Amino acid sequence: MTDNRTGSLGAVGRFFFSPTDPTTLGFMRIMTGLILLYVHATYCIELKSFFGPDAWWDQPAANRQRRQQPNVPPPLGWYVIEPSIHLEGSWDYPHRRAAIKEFLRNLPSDPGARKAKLRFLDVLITKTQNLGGQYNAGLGMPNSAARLLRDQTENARLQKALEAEPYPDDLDSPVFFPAFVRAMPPQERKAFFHDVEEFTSLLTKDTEKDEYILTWLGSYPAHKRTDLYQFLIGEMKGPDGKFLGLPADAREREAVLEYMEYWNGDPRQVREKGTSVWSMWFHITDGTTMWAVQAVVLCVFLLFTVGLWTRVTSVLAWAATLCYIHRSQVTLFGQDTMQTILVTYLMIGPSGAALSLDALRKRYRAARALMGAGGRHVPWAEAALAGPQSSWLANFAIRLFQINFCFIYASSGVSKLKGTSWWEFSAAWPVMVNPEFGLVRYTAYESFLHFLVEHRILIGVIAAIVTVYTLFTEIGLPFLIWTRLRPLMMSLSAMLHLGIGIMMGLAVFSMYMFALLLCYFPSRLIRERVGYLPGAGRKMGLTFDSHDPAAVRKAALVRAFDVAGQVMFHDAAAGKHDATSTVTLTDPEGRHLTGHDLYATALRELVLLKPVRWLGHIPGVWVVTSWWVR
Amino acid sequence: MTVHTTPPDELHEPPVPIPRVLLVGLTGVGLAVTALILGLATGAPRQGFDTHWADGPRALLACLGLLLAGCAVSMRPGWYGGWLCLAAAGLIGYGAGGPAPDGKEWYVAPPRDWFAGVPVSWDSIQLFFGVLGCVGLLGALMTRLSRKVVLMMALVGVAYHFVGIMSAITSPPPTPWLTDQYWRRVSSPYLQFAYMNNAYQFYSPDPGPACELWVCFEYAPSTTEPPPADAEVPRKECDWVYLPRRSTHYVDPLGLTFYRHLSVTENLAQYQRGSTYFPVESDPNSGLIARRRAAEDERIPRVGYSEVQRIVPNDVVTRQLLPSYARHMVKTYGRPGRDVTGVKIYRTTHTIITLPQFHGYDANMNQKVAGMSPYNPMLYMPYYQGEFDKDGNLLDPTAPLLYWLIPIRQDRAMPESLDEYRKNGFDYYFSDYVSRHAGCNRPKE
Repeated sequence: MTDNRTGSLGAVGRFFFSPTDPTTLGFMRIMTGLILLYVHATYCIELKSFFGPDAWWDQPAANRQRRQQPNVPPPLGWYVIEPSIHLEGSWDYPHRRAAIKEFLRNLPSDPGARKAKLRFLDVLITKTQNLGGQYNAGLGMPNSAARLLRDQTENARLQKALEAEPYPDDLDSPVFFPAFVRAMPPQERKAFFHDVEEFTSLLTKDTEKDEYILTWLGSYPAHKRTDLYQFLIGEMKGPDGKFLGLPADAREREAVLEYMEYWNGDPRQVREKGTSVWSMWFHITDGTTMWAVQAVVLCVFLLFTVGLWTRVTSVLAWAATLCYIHRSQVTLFGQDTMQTILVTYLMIGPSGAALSLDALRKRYRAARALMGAGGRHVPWAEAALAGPQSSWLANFAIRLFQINFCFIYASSGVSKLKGTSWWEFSAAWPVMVNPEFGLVRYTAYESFLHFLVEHRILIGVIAAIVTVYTLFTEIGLPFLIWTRLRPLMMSLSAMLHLGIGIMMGLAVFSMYMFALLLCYFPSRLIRERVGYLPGAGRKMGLTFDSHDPAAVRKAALVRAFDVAGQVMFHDAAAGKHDATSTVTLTDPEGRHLTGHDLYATALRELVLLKPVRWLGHIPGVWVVTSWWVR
Repeated sequence: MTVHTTPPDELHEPPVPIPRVLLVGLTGVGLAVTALILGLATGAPRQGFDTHWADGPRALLACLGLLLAGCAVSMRPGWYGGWLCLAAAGLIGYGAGGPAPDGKEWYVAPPRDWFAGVPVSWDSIQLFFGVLGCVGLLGALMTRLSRKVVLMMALVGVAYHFVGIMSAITSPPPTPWLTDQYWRRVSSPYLQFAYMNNAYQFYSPDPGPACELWVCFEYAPSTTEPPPADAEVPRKECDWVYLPRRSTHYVDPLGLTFYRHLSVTENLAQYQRGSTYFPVESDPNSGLIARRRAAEDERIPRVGYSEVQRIVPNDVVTRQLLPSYARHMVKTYGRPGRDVTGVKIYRTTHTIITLPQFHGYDANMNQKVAGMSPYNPMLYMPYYQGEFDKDGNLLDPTAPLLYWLIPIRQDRAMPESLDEYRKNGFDYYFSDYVSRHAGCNRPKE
């Protein structure tokens, strides 16, 4: 592995793959796990409202979105993909959309009959090309025709007008004939009016709806009207020869119209449909099952936090968090993004290799192997007992964290520069006085604000400092964090998020940001501050017989927990001590202890176990311990 | 960061014996196969998304199978066998199907039979299984490659990952053409799957106000409580609900539930760009809605600023979110046992008070005026989002005030003390046109 640091991967290889201590990841795991537990425990309050079948974003709507949402990427060339039918304009309005949909749905299924009924449109579009308003004037005829069909007198006047040759300017016609119709010979004019009547029979007989339909046809883009006609008669083909016309089959037509109504697009032109989100909450509908799953998930987070079976539970934690996120997208905010970053990279890195029960279990296995070896060297066990082993994967995960953190800051900082409020130093004020997020609900704080605004220079300076501080930290950190200014930038970042947590109430978001910020902490510092270094605690001795497996197990258990090297282990089988099957602990006062007293003393004296020494008071705990190491 | 050298192999703990790994891995695969067989044996649907009684047990079996296969990987990550077990469990869960028959379009009917361990109705989990199956195959391959190749593959993965994140960062408008292409064609499936698609543009370009929902429920007349004999018209029964409220939604110590509800309401603040809603009907000479709106002018005054007078939500809000919200609210907030006849929804922007307003400075007159409270009712801007039935259908798409601002107007100067305000009451100082519009008196806070 070290070859790659000087080999062809060079500096990049060194940056990403130099092995490092996983303690930083271990500490980040604990912090993240605790916040995860909190965040997901709070879901119990609104479990059904956020994830149930009748949630805010209910299952039918959510499932429809993830299964059907269209993806039509823009073309790689210059020319856009023409939609089979233009749906802008009238289609945007529910009542108009309903009328147009009804019109489209009721068009004859037989292509021949449909073509005959729509001949009016064909003639109208053909005859009015480049004639400006005559197309819309022609569209007015079906409305007139609809009225005339019910009135014989008007009909007689109409026939007279249709048969007039030439068409006189002052003819008393109940229907207004646009110029292009008046210019037709009588036979053609009569045929055209017959087409008008045929087309009129397609309308809904509801004046308002018909007006919507005709308005839609009237506002259709002029250069696309021929395509519209092709679509309506079912003869439209895409560039690849694919059928894109109005389907003849009623079921298919309904499906196409339904899709158009919801998604504003033709399903046949969708390159990809649906999204790649996933969640068990899209499918679970039963309340009891929901609660059972919720309980299991909380258990997973608990195991992840304490670092038990972390390689598995980290993946489960990642999957579980994404299940919640994908299902309830309307409840998300910035903290969920940070949460995902944390669980993703902690899953990639060996986050359970340090500060975890997994690490203790490994120490126990190592201690057993070493103590049962009768004095022989067991290199891997000695290495394991010496502390967490360096790992290139740990460094890799930490680098991912660090780079992503820089992306977050750079994007957040640079995007602020688009806003005027950040330039005029007024962005801080909405934070200070935001009623939903901020502290202004507290009278004392509001009074303090009044005091500030009484002195304009004061509020001006404070607003400027907050603004400049925010911009400097967010834009500067991605560059300066890699220099000797790292401690400064980390401090500035921590203060920024402390401010966000207090001033905006986004405590959980801030805590996640703190957890993310830990990726810049050196592992040694964390080990010094959080772990126990050799030399801590009072000294003890333990004698065991390496030939006795039970004695080895008991001694190994103590050694696993003895992270500070408090206990001096003596192997009786090595000859320096009397051989005995009893494991004996010599406590700091020089007393020789066995059995229950041994464990109780270890629990009390070992620095790692001191914080949980209350466990010894739980009834039955010693019985279980004795049974386990029997 | 302290850099160490990689420990030599003899310093690594001996791996778990292969037979044990194989036992765990194959058990996982067996469970996934069992889920598949259970589906076939019970005649569970192989098409569409209809549910079946065996779906739950099958999903559980398949998930346990995947978990065990994953455990096999974790027991011995350097051995390809565990990864292959994961691949097998994942791909069996994902399933396979024949080609779709000609003429059977997906939007009309499910196109083909699909045979999978995970039920077809759990299609999103099938996707998850499929991805993990592919990860299993990739992992198995990586165990057979040299370390250097593995590291190079990791670097390629890093590049793909962060370029994808860059495309997400640059995707908010104005979106570069290249970003749009990369996002739609390359990165979005991955970023969506992993929820890495956030643009990180927090609180920018400018800080904005929060949104609330004011919701009025109207009920069918009660059949158990007859109206008073002297009542000329049936009394309208209605309730108001405000979302979110600290008093009801700040229920956990850090207020997470409250902020989640703020996100729920914030999602309605997505607008159509450059839209003039009802372009035809808003024509004052002919438009139906314009005429109805004009008729309402006496009752509900206009604000007068065209940029805030009418804000039209985008299609996601009007066609997906609002109907879903309406259905949810009827079921969650409606009175139990009562038939909800309509839900009027108002998306209310709580405008953040400006510095001069807070201080009490009138810039036009250059004089001191009474300062305003951040909670002054005038700062609430309720936009009518429509009235919905319990199934989420918009009852009147031609409602004249749909997506219009319904103002709250101040009639009298605010008193110096809060006590005096409380004594006189809200209605003494303000005209609440929201109540008037809803036809139901809104409780004042």
